[in-house]
Amino acid sequence: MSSLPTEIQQQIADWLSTGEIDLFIGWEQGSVPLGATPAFVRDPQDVSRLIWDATCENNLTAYLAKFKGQKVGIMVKGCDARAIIGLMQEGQWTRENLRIVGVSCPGVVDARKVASALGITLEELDQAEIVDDTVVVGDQSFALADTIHDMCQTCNRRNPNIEDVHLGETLPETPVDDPFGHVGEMEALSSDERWARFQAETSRCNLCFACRNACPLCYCTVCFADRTQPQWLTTTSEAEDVQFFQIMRTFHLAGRCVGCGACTRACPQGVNLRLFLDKLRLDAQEVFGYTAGVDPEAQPPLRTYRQDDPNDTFL
Amino acid sequence: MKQWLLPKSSLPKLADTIRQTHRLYAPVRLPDQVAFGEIGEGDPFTLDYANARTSVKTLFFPQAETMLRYERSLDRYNDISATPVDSVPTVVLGMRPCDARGLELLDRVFGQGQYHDPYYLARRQATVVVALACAAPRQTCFCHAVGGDPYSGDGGDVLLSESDEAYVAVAQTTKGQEWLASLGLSEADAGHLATAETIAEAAHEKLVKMAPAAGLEDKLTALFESEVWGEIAEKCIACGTCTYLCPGCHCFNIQDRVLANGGIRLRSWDGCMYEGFTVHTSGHNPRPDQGARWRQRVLHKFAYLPENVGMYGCVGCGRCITYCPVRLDIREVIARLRIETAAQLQGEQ
Repeated sequence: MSSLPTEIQQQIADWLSTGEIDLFIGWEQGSVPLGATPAFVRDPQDVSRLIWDATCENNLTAYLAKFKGQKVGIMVKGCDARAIIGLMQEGQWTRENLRIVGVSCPGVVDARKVASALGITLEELDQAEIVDDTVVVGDQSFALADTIHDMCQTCNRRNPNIEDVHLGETLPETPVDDPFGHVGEMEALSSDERWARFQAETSRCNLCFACRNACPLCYCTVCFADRTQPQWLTTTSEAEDVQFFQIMRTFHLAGRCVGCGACTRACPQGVNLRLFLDKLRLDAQEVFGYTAGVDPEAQPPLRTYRQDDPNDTFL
Repeated sequence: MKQWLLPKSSLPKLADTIRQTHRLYAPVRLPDQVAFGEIGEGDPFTLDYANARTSVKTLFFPQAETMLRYERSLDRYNDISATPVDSVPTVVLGMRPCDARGLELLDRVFGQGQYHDPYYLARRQATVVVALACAAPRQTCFCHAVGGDPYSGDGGDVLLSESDEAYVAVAQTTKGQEWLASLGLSEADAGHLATAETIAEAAHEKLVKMAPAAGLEDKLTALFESEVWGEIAEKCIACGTCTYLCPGCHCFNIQDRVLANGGIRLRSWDGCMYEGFTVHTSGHNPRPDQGARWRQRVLHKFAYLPENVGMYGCVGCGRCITYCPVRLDIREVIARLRIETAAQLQGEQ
C-alpha cells in the first residue's frame, strides 16, 4: 500500500484548491486484505489518503454517472480509461470537465486466487500484503504476476489512452497473442453446447446486480431490470429471471462494452461474465472493425449505418 | 444439562442416522466457497470451515418461494388450489452461532407480534439446528460487538464445541435435548470437557477488539438529518450483495406471476439498498439517494430492531465486509457514527 508520489498529490491538491475540480475520485486502503476501497476527496488535505497499488481493482469511472455535469478528477488504469472514452463516445461526459490521473497497471490482484492457492476460502484469508512483486501471506509468498485477475493476464491496454498527468513509468504494451483466447472456448462449442455452458455459468448468479452497478457503461437512470410497467423480470434466482437479465445486459452492451472487467471482479458468486461480453466485443471487431473505448470520435456500430456494413450477421 | 461427546470420526455415521428420519443439510466445501447443501448417501461434508458464503437463512427464508397457487377455470375464478408449506423434518448441522442468532432474529420478526409468517415458521419448527461454536474467529468476525459470542447457543437447538478429535454437544432447547438423547452418544468425560474449555478460552482471545454496539441505538436517530449518511454511502454501488448474504436481512416483495389459467403468488427478497425499494407509484421516492438508503440500513439494524424485537439486526458474521465489491465496512460505518454522535453531543453543549 503506497501513497501517491508527491508531485501527483500536489497536482490533485492544486486542482481541488483552484476549483478546477470539485471532487477527486481515487482509492484508499480498505479494511480487508488485498482490497483497496474507493475514496472521494474534496479537501486538498485529504489527498494524502490516496494510494496506488495492485489492490486498486475497482473501476472508478462507474461513479461518474452520479456526478454528471460537475467537474471531477479521477484516477484510472488502462482499462478504466477506455470507459471514459466510451462515455464520451455516448455523449455522457465532456473532456473539459475531467482531470485524469492515468496510471500504468501491470494487473490487479485477485484475492480469490490467493485464497485458492492456499486451499482456503476468501473468509479464511485473514491477512495478506503485497511486498514489491510478491503477495505475502504469513510465511508463504506468491509471485504477484501469478495472482492477478485472468483478465489482467491478457491485458493489451496497460497504459491509459486518455489522461492529464501520468503516475509512474509507462509499461511496455506487450502484444498479447490471443486476447480473446478464452472466448475461443465458447466459439468451439455447438449451439446447444453453448447454451448449456451459458446456463451452467449463470446458474451461480443470484441477481444482486453488482455487475450492472459496477459497470461504467450501465448508466441508464432506470434499468430495464427495475422497471415495473411493464415488469420484465422478478428478482428470484431462478433460471428464467437470471438468464433473461444476463442476456439482456450482455446485449445492451454489444458494441459498447470496453472490456474493463469490473463486472466480473464485482460478482460475489464468481460468475465468468467476461466470457459472454468478450464474445460480443470480438464480434464487434470482426463484423464492424470496431473497438469501444479507443477513439472518442468513432461512432458505435449499433448507432450508425454505413452502406458497406456487412450483412451476413443478419438473418 | 447433559454434555454429550460426539467423536469427529463418527460424523459420517451420524449423517446416516439422521438421514433415516430427517433431511440433512451440512457445509460442503466447493472449489471456491463453502455452502450448505443437502447431504445424500455418502455425500461429503465438513465441519472444518470458517463460514459459508451464503447465510443459512436461505434454508428457512429462500430467495424466492411460492406463497400460494391459484387456478382459473370457467366456473371458478382464482380458486386457491394450494398453499405450499415446507415442514419436512430437517437437521441443519454445523451452522455458526452468528447464523443461528440470525435465525433468532428472524424468529422474532416472523413469529412475534400480530402477524406470523407460516412459511418461515413451518420450516423452523420442523428443523433441528445443530450449531457449531467458533474455535477460530476470523478478522472479519464481530459477533461479540453486537450481542453475540463465538460460543453463543442463541437460535440453535444444540451447540457443538470443539474438543480433542471430538465435539462436546449440549442441548439449548427441549427439541435439542430430545434429539441428542435419541442418538445414543456417551457423556463427555472430564478430559474432553477440559480441552473444550481451553479451546473456548483461546477462541475468545482471538476476537478482534471492537467496542460493543451497546448504547448506539439511543443516539442514532438524532443523526437523521445529518450529512454523514451521504459521506458513508458515497462509494456504495447499491448492488445488494450485503443484503443477500446477511443472516439478518429479511425484507421481501410479494407479487403475482399471472398465467393464462392461473398463477402463483411469489415472495422474493428485496433490499433497502436498491433504489426501487421505496419508490412510489407516483414516482416519488422518500429515500432518493444512497445516503438515505444507508441511513435506513443502519437505523433498521441498530436502532429500530433493538426497539421492536430486542436485538440488533446485525449478527457480526462479517460476510458483507468480505464480499462487498467496494469494501464498504459496516464496522467503519459504526465507528464513523460514534464520532459523529460524540461531535453532535459536543456541539449541543
